[in-house]
Amino acid sequence: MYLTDKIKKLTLLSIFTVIALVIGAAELYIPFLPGLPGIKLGVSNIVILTAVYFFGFKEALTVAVLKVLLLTFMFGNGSSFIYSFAGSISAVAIMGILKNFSCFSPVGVSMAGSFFHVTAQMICSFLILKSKYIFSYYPVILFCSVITGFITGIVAKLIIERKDKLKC
Amino acid sequence: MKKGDYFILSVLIIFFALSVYLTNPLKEASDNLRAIVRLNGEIHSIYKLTDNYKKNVEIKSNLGYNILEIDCKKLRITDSDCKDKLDVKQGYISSAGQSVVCLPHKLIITIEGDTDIDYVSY
Repeated sequence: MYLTDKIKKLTLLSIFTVIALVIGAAELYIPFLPGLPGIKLGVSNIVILTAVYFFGFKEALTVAVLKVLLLTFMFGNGSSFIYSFAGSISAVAIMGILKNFSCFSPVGVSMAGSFFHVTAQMICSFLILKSKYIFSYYPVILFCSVITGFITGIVAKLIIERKDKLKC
Repeated sequence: MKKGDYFILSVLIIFFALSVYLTNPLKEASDNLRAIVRLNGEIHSIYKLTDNYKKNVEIKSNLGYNILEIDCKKLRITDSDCKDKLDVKQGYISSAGQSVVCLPHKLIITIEGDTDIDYVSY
């Protein structure tokens, strides 16, 4: 890989990270469904999913980890970090795996990622709170995750289809 | 949407149905409610709140009387000879952690359940 390509990749990944960060920060102030706590659209997942398709698993993981770390430093606290981190890592992992199969489009990959995100967070909160009653909220979260995953997947697909035009 | 996407979607729908089915007993377990009547700080009586359980109880003390109506899984004070009648005005309570208080008669009725969550914040 030439030096210019390396610099280009580094710059693009930085831009991806910043976009994910800004969207993630803006999203903290927009409730997706008022009345259902803990549920948000997950728009920054669009960026992560695009990074998975443009660069690959390793690079997308870097973007996701940086996004979670920086967002925690700016707005979050210790416990929100654990939840976001567990969710992001497992979502990127499943998206990185499913992307390699040609039978899945970004929409399906996004839904699977969304599902893994909430499931990892649910297991995480179960391990921390040690109460099985939190699982009674799981069907609600699971249902919403499929819908939000579908929406973000469609948007990400629109970006991914235009990869050649974007020249990156 | 490709073929694989429908596969993922159907797996998730099955998983969703399963999770609804499996987490339903959790809600039942947390509904194991009982009403605890305390007069002057001491436990006066305990009633289990279950379906098809209706009862009117008169709680008497030297300060006055209150009439407690238990209607399945909710309860209220229907009548009292206290001055402000705040307990009557409060109406029905039904979930664990709620309480009706009649201060002039030193009466506290609390609903307790088996849930080990006090409050959830996000």
